[in-house]
Amino acid sequence: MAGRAAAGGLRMGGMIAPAAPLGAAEERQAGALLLTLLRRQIALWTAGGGTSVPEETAQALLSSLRWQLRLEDGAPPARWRAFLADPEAAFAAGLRRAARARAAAETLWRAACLETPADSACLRDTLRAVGAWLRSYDARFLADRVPEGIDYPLCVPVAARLAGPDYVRAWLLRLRVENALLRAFPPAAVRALLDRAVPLWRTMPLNMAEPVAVNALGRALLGLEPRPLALGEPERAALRELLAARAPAERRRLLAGGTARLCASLGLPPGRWRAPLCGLAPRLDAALAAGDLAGIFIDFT
Amino acid sequence: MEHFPIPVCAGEERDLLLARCNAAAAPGGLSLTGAELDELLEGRARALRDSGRVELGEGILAPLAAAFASSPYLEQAHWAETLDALQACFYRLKSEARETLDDDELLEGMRRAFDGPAGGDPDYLAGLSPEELWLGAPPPEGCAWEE
Repeated sequence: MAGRAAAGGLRMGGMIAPAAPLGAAEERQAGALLLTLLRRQIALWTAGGGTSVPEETAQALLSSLRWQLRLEDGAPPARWRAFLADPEAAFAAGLRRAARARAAAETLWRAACLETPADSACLRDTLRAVGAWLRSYDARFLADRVPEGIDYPLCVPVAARLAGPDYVRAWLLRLRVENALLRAFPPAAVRALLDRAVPLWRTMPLNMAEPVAVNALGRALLGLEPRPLALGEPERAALRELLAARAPAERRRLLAGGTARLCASLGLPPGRWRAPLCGLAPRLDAALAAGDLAGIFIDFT
Repeated sequence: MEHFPIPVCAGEERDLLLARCNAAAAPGGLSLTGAELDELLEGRARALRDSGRVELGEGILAPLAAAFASSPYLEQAHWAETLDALQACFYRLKSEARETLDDDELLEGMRRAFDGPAGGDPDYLAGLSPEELWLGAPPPEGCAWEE
């Protein structure tokens, strides 16, 4: 609809994908159908107690509706046409999809709660917030909302385009990948490393997996077994020598090879770790230029 | 935030609304013309925008007419003008009450204040907060009963 809404010909920002080659009549019909569904959602939301809602509520209900229908900005024309053909079926399918996604998120959450190290208060609070969100989630309204209180930072953040239970699933999946790495090492070694790398990790919103992964990668680069994570000054000197002798592009290849070896030896999916570990390259370049890898590979024996 | 489109009430829908408003106000001997309704619909759009609200249904005009038609203070000459002031007041109070009052509760409180301390003056209602409306509005200035 390229920003034009059917009702009254007024603007309703991006209600229909700008690139969608829908005809003008289809655009008008789609806008009108969305408003009809929104009117019903508003009536259900107010439980018959009101004919109007605050604009923020209307926007939130519309955003939820579009998420349920998968008619966000950029949705393909075929999806709009399926909606035009049978809006009620599209809405019902959206509700079912939201319920399935929520159920999948709950399964992941239960597993994550069982396997997550309890030491980080921030992560514990975050999982509690996700649990509260799961209990209160209602696929009919505000289906695209995400939990407030996800304060624990992951190594690689979840894509901002995800919403609702899709976001929560992706977040929990990534957390479980990070948990798998942490669980591959003795807890005492992980704690000792974190105490050196990020001393406030128990109370502050600080990621636990990244320092562990980086030290393990350091050992892998030296051809050592990743366990038990220790890197003393001799190993760091060897790493400095190994890395400084190579051009940046070669260093990147080295990081990729080390990541692959590390994941193979720990039984982790390499694809999940490639981005955070190969993403170390710019930091490594800077540290090598300064002649000091202490801020990257943690001296911990 | 981009403003929501207010669905245009026209054609059959407008005629239906006019009939509904006039049926609701008939017990008080009041009625609206089509032109008056059009002005009221413009006023509605303005009031919704001013109060930051969205309404996709028929709106509050017919329920307002039904709630106020039997007020002894209303007369045909000012019916449309009063309804316009009342609907603006309604949306403002609805927002200020932060959704704690149902439409029916709000209409009931407005009517009580309109027939009571307001003495039929919609401008008096315009100065009330939801709390004053619901807990009992004070008498207008100069009308306080003195020993």
